[in-house]
Amino acid sequence: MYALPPGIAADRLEVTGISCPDCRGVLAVKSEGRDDSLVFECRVQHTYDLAELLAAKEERLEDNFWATITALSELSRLLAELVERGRDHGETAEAVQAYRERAHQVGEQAQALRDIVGGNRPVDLTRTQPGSSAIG
Amino acid sequence: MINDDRVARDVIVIGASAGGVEPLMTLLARLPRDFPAAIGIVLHRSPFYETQLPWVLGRHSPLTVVEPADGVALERGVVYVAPRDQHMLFEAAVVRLDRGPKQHRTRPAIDPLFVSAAAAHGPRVVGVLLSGFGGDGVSGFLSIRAVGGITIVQAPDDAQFPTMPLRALKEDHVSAALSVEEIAAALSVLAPGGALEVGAPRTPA
Repeated sequence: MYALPPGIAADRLEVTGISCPDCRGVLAVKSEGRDDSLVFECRVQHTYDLAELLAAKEERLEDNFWATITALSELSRLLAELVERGRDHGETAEAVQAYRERAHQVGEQAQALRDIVGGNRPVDLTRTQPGSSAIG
Repeated sequence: MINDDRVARDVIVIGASAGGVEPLMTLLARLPRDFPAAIGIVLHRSPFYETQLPWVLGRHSPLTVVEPADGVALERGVVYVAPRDQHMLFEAAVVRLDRGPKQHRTRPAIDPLFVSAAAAHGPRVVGVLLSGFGGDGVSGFLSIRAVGGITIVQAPDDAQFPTMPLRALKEDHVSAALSVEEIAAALSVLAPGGALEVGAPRTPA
């Protein structure tokens, strides 16, 4: 599935293959102005130029990473506490070992995602502007 | 009286938000070329746009103003401006950049610089909060005070957007509330270890 539809036209919205960053609705695109700048719009008229869309998509991406890091960290912590608790609360040695292994696994995944977020470098959008090619 | 124990306050960390560019330019323009302190600046900014911020802030300043790379040496007489989309930390000998979680919904944020500087440099740190909105910088101020550092805010009637200085005045025992020109003069006294004749600011209602 494409992101941008073929044959983007001036002043006629074409449906894209990407979702609106603000409401997850269907996003449409047209071009406008001398440079055929892209303008994106959803059903409720959240509106973006290209730089704004990229910025919003980067923000959603980071939000999603942190949501996943949180899910992994919570699970890891819960399992680790169950390992401690299990000793005095009738858990079998096998169950405690399973908790321990899974806590370690998801803990490592959380750290790996933190490293990924830390290394992400969103593009500089200074030149991703309508008219940037014209004014060089 | 501030700094009557004559400690060289040679690590200066400055936070600013809305309305912060002009006071930062004025401040840097008024410091001398051989200024004997390292200066860190966090200005709230968009994470997506590369601007010529060091050039803008340093236009009228005799000091070297840079956006540091991760791990560069922390040196006196240099002004380090936090780059877009990274927290900037002052460690004992180097500057660290960290794309960690946003703080106060922003990256770079002021608190990571203030807190790290306080942890690494203790009473040598002077924290300065200029014009802006929001609560970023208050935790950092408390960290600086906790290790015997000095905290200065731009006087609310001197700031374009006084919310940030007012928040700090309310939450912390700020050492002084001064105009930008007075802050420049104060830093020039404090950096080499001079004492400053200033009354403590009134706490806003």
